[in-house]
Amino acid sequence: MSGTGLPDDATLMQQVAQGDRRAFLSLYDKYAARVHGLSVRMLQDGMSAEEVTQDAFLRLWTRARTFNADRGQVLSWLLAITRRLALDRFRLDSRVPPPLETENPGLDLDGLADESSRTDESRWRSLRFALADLPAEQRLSIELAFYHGLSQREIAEHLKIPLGTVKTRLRLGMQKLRRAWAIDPIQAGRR
Amino acid sequence: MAHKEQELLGAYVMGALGSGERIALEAHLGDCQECQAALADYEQVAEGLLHLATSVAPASGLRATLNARLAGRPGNLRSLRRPGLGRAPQVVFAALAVTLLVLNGALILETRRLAERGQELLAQQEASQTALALASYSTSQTAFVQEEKIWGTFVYEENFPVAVFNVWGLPPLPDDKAYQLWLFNPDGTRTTGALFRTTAAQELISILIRSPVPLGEVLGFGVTVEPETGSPAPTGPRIIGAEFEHSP
Ligand SMILES: [Zn+2]
Repeated sequence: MSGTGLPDDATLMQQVAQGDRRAFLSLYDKYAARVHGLSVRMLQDGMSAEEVTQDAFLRLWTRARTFNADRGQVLSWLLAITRRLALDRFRLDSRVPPPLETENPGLDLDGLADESSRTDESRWRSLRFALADLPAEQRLSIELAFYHGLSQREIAEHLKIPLGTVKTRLRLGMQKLRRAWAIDPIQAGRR
Repeated sequence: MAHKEQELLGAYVMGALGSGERIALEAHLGDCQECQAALADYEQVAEGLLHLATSVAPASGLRATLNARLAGRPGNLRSLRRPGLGRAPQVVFAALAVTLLVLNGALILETRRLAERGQELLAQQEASQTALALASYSTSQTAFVQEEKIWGTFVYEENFPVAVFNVWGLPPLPDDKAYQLWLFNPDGTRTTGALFRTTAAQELISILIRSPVPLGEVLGFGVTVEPETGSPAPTGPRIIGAEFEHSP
């Protein structure tokens, strides 16, 4: 999305840190659907998800100064905050982890197309394919850990399988994702 | 051949390791560049996972709600200092300074009272001394927390990686549980600041908090109940906590 003459994210964040509401709303318009998408994915409940999305943007407003452009993108920072808020929300509600089936994340790729540069888009896309490609039990363990904040031990309890099995699934699954990430041509070109 | 520790990195970046494994792994990571490089890969994978959810537009009213809420807030008054950027000018709002003076006075009294009671162990003394040291800085800040019958103060100075949490009324826990205090990092992760227990006899306990980074880089804290050896990430409900923010 470069070349449109709009200020880049890092500049918008600086403006937000100065209390610029217009800059804030620009970031909101750009990323609200991404943030909300993650909230919904994690909480699977529209009401709670909306609260988390709202909280995430309030954090963006109050914490803009802590954002460090050298350490990554605004969107990643915002999504990391969203994940943390959603996990807090789980604990607050003492929620049971979600049903055992996992949505196949490879089915819908449309959501990735918006608002991200082509480079990032292709990286996420290859990761998404790799995740979809995992054996279902590996993918499920990763989803329970990452999107629902369960420890290895909690996953074992939840799935009623031995801890060692969970460790193996997480290890194999994450190794495959790492490999998929590493052979991404763009990513490889950076090394 | 890759180190065996690398097998744990996937679970580690998702916060899924038990505390024993996590601590051992972090100790190894501190000395091993090869595993640090592998960790960087896994961190990118974890970052990538954040981006996989399908976009969903929130209700259209949310934008207006946020905009209205922002109108009532003066934005980010807090000036966070990062190491290496030098000290920001030591400007403190007058009202805040007065509050802090009164507060620091109270803190010194409280700390002395603590010491006089002589009931506390070395850890308590260390916490008290740190509280005293913090009280001597005019730039020290205090976050107040209250949750029903529990209340406390979190005293810190933005440039220091230590702080003191004074808390009243935390109920004693069963033997296999402990309180774990978490520091909130800007990237959404949690770092353990302290693991502690209380006894029925202690109305007040002062906990020394150690942070890997100056407290100015920490967004807030929370206390949860965890297994006695601690957890890698919060699992129990939050008992008490606060975000660090200047009042306007
Ligand atoms: Zn190593």
